[in-house]
Amino acid sequence: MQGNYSSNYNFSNSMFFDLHFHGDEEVIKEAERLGYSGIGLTRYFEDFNSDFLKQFDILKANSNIILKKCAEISCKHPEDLRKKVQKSRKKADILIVRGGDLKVNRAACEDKRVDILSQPNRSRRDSGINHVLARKAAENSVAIEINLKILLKTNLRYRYRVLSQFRHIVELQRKFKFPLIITSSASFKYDLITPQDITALSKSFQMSFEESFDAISKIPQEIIEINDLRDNFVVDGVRIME
Amino acid sequence: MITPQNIFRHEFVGLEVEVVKSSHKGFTGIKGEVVDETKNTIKVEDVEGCEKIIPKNVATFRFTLPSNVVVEVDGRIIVARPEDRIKKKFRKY
Repeated sequence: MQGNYSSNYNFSNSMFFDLHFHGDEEVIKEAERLGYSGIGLTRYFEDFNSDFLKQFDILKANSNIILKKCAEISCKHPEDLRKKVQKSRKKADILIVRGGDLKVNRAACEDKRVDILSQPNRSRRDSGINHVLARKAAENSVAIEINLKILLKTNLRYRYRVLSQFRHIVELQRKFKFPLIITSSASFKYDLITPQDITALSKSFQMSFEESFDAISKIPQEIIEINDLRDNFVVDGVRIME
Repeated sequence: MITPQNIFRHEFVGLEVEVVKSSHKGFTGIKGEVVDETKNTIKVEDVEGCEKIIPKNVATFRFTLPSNVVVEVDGRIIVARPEDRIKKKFRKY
């Protein structure tokens, strides 16, 4: 591993983010201990209510790392997706759409309001992404998520399929340059993975060190920065400067 | 009156502009006043008096409005003839 690290890719100097995180206060503290600088606290669309917002404010006040509230939307039809995105866009900092169905994947990649498409390969034999969706995701800056929880929790007998799906997503990312992030989707503190382990594990689906490093540091940071500026956008492409 | 909410439908000639980002490095940093506009280009007269023609679809422009508000506009959304731009619909996200 020595000689693989340039000055830009340094674990001690960089900030790491996990934007798909279902845990509570104990898990947030464990994430901080493992070296994460920011967490996207995620709740499903049905649970994203005033109770969660109050709990989020308390957690944010007690935590030393960056906390963002994420809404995860799962739906069966693209029309349902549009309605849920419309309802939750203003409340949530980051919007995650759970993929799986090809039509939902396509609708999410074509919608500029969506930040992350999670698990496009869910319940599928293929990766859920093709060259058309990859191009749309790159145009609309929709990040595709590689969820390591699927890889680690899948039965060993079928793990080869998940690895080949991830490999296909990485190949498409190299060609079409859409944003790619890696998350742990942690619910308990034992689901968390250190950034060093993520970069090592990503070699198993042929991701280079630089690509995996960007996927846990630079790309999530850009997503957070874009969403912080979202209120300044008058229309798509027009931004008021301070 | 020009506001950030109607800038993309308004006339650009006479506004102070700066090119802040471009895929062509030669366009970045050009600053001046808009003197002409076509479907795909904006003509800018810089401080030295030279006229520079900048394609819209490769640049991001920063306009300074008369009310001193600065608005950053992606060139790709203003690709249209000035007389057609007032009819164009813009999506709000």
